[in-house]
Amino acid sequence: MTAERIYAALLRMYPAPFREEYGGEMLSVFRDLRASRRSTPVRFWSFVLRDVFTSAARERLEGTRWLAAALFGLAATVATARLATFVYRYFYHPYFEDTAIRPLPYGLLLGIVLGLSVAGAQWVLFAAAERRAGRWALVSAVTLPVAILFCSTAVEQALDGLNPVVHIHHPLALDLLVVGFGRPGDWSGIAAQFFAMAASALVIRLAMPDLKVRRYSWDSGRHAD
Amino acid sequence: MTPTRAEFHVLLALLDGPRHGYGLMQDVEELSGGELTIGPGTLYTAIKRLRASRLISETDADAGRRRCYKLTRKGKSIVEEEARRLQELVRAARKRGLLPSQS
Repeated sequence: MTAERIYAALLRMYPAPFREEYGGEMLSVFRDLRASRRSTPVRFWSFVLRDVFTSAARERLEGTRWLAAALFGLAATVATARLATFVYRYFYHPYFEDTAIRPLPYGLLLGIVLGLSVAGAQWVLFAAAERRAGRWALVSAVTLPVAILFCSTAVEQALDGLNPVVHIHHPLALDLLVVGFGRPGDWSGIAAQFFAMAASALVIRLAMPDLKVRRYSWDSGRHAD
Repeated sequence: MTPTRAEFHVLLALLDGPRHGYGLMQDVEELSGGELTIGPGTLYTAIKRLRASRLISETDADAGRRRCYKLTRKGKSIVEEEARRLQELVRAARKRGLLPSQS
């Protein structure tokens, strides 16, 4: 196996899009580097391997940053929503009892609120790492209300006014989402949930001081290619 | 955007005009006085980030049909800003006796 073949095999450590964009050039630079090398083969290869391992690991981590941000965002949102629900119950007033709404508008409204708030959180978080965060958020804003209306047992339970925690047999992702957020019983609960999600998105943004810088990178990057 | 050490050297190298990948590697080594040697992996991850931030852009290929990169106006202003920041650091280090003062 020639040195070039070994290096070409090492390039597989990089994510596929990066390899497609720069793999050919990297191989060409490697060829030049090898032709002009001034060190022993052992030193040369230890330099090359160190370079490949560190930069490929960095590139892979860069690629999964959005997932870590999304998971962190989801956990923070759920925690904030639970806290808001607790506060709402703690300061409960009988006045709100008459404000209960009918199941179908409730389900639709819940879907819209979830869609908008999750899309808002995605737009804030994914913009730090994804060039198409806006599109992603738009898709969430549209699909979540549809999903809430037409998908899974959790939705039916929500529309029937049942407690999804009691009736869950198949812990689908959507079920877990509904359990995590808690089920508000009226308009004020939905409003509390919306504000909880908006507040958590704001907290996350404030807790990530380099977001502005990264947003700048993303904003700039969308026209780069 | 605060460039990393390798990115800053790549930007510095491009101040002299467009370069292809291997030319950049050589320039970085020369600019750093041999202290910083970057491999193709480090170079192209830096190029990717700099392109995404619009600090550099691709330009016409050279005679050997290799892709070349050039500094953008934004890239020039960032590299100047970073150079000024480093100058301030050196000044602070001199003030505290960490480095010999300029005569």
